[in-house]
Amino acid sequence: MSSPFYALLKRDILLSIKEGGTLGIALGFSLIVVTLIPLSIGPDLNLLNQIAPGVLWVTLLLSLLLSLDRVFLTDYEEGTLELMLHGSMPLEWVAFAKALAHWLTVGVPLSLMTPALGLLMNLSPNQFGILTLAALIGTPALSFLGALGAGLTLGLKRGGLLLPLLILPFFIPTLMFGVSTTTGYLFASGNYENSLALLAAISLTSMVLAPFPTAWALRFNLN
Amino acid sequence: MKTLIERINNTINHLANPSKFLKFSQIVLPWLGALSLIGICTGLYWAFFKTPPEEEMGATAIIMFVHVPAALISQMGYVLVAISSFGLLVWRHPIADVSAKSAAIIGAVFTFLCLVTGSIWGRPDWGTYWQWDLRMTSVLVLFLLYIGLITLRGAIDDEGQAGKITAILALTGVILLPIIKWSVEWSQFTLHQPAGIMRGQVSTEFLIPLFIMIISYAILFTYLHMKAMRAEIFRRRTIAQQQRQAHQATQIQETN
Amino acid sequence: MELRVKNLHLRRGNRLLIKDLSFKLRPGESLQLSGPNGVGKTTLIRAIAGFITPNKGHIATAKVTHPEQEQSVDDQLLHEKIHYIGHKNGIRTSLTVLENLEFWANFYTSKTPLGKIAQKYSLKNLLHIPAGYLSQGQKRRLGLSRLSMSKRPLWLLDEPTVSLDQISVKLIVDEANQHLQNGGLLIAATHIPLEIPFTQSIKLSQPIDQEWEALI
Repeated sequence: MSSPFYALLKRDILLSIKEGGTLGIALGFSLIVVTLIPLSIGPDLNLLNQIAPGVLWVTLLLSLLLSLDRVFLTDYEEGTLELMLHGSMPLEWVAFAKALAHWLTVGVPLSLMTPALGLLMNLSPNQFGILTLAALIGTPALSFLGALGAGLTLGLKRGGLLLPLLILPFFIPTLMFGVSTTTGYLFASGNYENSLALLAAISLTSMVLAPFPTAWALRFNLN
Repeated sequence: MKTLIERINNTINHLANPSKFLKFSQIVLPWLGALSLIGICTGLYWAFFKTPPEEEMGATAIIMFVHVPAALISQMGYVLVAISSFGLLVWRHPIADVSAKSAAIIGAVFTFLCLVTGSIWGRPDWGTYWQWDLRMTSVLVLFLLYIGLITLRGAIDDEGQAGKITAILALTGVILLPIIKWSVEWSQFTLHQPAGIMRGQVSTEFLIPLFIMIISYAILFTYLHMKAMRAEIFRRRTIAQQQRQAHQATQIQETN
Repeated sequence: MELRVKNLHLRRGNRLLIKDLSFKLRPGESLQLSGPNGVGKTTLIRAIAGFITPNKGHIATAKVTHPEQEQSVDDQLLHEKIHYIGHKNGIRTSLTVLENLEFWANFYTSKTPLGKIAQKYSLKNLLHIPAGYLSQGQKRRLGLSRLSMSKRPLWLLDEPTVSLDQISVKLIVDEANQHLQNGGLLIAATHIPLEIPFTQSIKLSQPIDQEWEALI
């Protein structure tokens, strides 16, 4: 894409470094959620190992969700978003760039963090590879669908509270294929390559399609 | 053929006019209400007294006559929400918005009914009220989506804005619901229950009352939908009137 | 470029704010919108900017060379022809002035050197200061600096002089006059008389009570 796209991407990454906060919260949140599981069900290592894929994926979904309401909010409040309507780049590309920036600044670090969480869930180091890979392939769908949710709830005073309710059902396919990739690999109970391919398909489809309704929602919210 | 399309078009245009819709629905509503009441009574009577007791499922099979139509209507309700949303976004007609809003609430009620009756029906069969089988899970997701639509609309103050933004969510849901259902089906977590609880097990004695129940439920849905749309139109007109009154009051104060 | 507004109706909620408004703006012409608060000046400007869809009527542009040809305009067609200066400045407070300038310059694919822009809007000494620390006037100037980044035929200014000091007001007026001399179009909503030779003026008045009506 043209340079406005890179300008926006660069700016959003720069902002996430400068403003910080969201990523730290997401990482801390995922750590605390995974900590609560053994505390609540007891430190049965076999059981933990068995439920690890499910727990780690649900944790990933929830902690990514925490940072989603910020995707458009500050730009909306400061009046930057409405000016982006008059740029040389369609609003669909703006939505794409901002969702991509969200994935790069939150999705990727969270995915890279999963081995540490896997350790807490009694996974062995040779299983970390597939865990991180599946997370990296699956999280783009979460960022792009999540950006749609952020666009829909943009004008709301308590949009951050409503967002999970709207968008978590849309995360189910990613959750399903993510868990079945990990489970398939870990316990050799199924074919993990197929699940991984489907996980990638869900992510790519979301990246292509989600920016359109997102841009629509943004236009309606600028009204 | 062309005249038929024209006539359909004319009918739609006719009903899209709020005042004409109000007149039309006022005439039709009592008939629809009576028809659905008679239909449901007939269907239930038939189901209770005219069908042989089902051997495999026992007495709880009766609940099928309440459950299966609810399942169908909950999906039809979402289709109506989606069509209305599409109509709103394309033609920007407020009556499409009123229709989407009303259909979402009633659809959610039918979905809830489907969930409750489904779990009661499943109890003797499964040994538990809730089984994570594909059908129940997808109905649950549908219910969540309905809840999402209703809360999102409720959270947005501006009526026009609320309609448009909810419409986007509804249409996104149309694309995502089949994918969600398919992903649940594909992944190994389901317990591989044969898809049709009723398929092949339903004898013809059951089919007639079931069919009557489905038709009556559809009429009931139409009745409730029209009723809710009327209420919504009146609500919006009342709000506008109150706003006008408030405005007039301030103007009088200013001139004094 | 010529701007044509025909039979425009705009509503906010149940209230019809703009009723049957028509005007035409030719190159070099400018329009002043006045009237008390809440009569729809901002709504009108935001509709022309493409944020609000008209309920009736339309906003169109025509190339001056082919006066009979008319393009119907929505946000897609008009979006690259407009500079909109609204109530918000559109600057990110956590970025420095320079980072803000750089972003907008890249976003507009501007060729104008940033040094020149910073000089003109007297931001030269502030370049490495986070925009959040600027005074209201400085923030406004930073927002206004976008006007010099890309050439656009239609300027929409909504209360452009709010919280600006005398020197900055003069800067804005000079810029606007320059823009008009180059054949640009300008619409401004303002309380305060500006030293811009407006060719047209529309005074919006309080709507009458019949105009509260449900959309349905």
